[in-house]
Amino acid sequence: MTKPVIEFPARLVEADSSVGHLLRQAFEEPTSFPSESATWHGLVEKREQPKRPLFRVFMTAAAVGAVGTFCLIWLVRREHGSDRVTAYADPQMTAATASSSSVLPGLVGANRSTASGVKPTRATTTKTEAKSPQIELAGPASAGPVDSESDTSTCARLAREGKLEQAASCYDQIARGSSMAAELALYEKARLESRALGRGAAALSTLDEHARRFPQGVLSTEAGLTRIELLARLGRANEALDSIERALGGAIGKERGGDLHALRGDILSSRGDCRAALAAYASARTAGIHPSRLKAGEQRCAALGDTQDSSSNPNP
Amino acid sequence: MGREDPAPSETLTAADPMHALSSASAVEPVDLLVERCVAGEPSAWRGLHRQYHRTALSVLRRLGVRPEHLEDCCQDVFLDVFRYLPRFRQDADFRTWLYRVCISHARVSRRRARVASLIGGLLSHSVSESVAHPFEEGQATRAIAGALEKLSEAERVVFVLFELEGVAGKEIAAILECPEATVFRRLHHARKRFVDAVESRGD
Repeated sequence: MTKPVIEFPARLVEADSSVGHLLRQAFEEPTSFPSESATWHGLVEKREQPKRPLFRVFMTAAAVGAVGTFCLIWLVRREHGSDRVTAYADPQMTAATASSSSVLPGLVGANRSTASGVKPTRATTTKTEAKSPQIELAGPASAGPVDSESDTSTCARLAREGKLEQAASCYDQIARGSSMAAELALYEKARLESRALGRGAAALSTLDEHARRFPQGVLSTEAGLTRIELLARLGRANEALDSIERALGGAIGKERGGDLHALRGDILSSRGDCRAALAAYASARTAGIHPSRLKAGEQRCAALGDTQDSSSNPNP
Repeated sequence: MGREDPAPSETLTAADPMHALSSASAVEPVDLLVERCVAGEPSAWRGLHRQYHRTALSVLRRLGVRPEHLEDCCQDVFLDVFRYLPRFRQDADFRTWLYRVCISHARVSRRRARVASLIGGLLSHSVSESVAHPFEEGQATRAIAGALEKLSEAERVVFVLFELEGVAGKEIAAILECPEATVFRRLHHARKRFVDAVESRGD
């Protein structure tokens, strides 16, 4: 199908009307525009001028102002480092946590639905500085003063390289501070101890320290959940179940209720209490936990149920 | 009330590469001029300016650039032309490209003028009336300028290019990067409004 050819009308100037007459008259009128040499002269001058001097001045002033404001904020924050402020939804923090989780895949909780998605606490939290105090790292990890995000990334690199003791030491150094990085380091240290180093008791102690020092930190939910998981893995099932009950009524329950239910289901199913376990799994499913996370426990219960049925009724 | 030459071109510094001494102002084919400009011949710049500055001034004025800003705007147009000429495709029509640059600068100039008049209004004095008309315009030209003010910006561009500059519809579509049908529709509306404005000026 060919496109229709558009025929434009004849120009108005050709029309025998008042408008056409006016246009013809205008075309014949002499107009004294600025002369060519005058325009050219101005053009040359313009070209020689530095471009937009006012704009440059404005941009310089804006840059100086921005730097000054940044320094001021930094100084104020430094002076009032222990103040309490509203929760930090700091993308750097989230990124740091996510990256540290991703570089340590073996350390991520196996039964977490969102292992790397750390949710910052909404409540008011202890003020943590964007920059931690400059800490000299001991041992081979110390490549000079490090701070903030780079701290934990250095430690994570060590862990990735298999230098677990050095990584733990690195986290420990940073965790001595009071910054957000310190909180992150403490949490990562606990995970390292728990998973890679196999020191459950030490990890539990570290998590207790975390709860004590950062009761309203951004990682308090994660740390709480990790502690319960650790209790379950250490065979302290009763303590774990008690902790789950308590946590379900608190802040952890609001954020990670589904995970808690799933964890309770796991503990109960491993104990053989499948009715309660399946109820827990149902709650977890309602809370949005993916069915694949619950599959193993449910299968275990199904197998137990078959065994129980066959043992109670050998001749069906 | 014609404007005097503030300084003849001979007073420019000879060291300036843009200072052209091409007194032989015979009309040269534009393709050749453009080629020479791109090759970096200073005299070609002046030649190009000489050939097209009046076209640019005329289009800018018709596109609504205020008389007091006309010279400045024309200089900006040529600065852009010289700056971006190396990117200009040789197979394209230079005039079409110049129109496009003019349309862009006219839009900016009109916007600046609007802002200036707004600020002037806030400061309770009229900016447009405070500046004297720097060059003469005939009665019919002024009447047409008045009627053009009644058109929207898009309609005005199409009307000026088609009716006053004699650019073909297809070429306008290429300049504005829109379908010919759009050009036709805008022209249709623009003509109606323009005729209405011209016929009602005596009322």
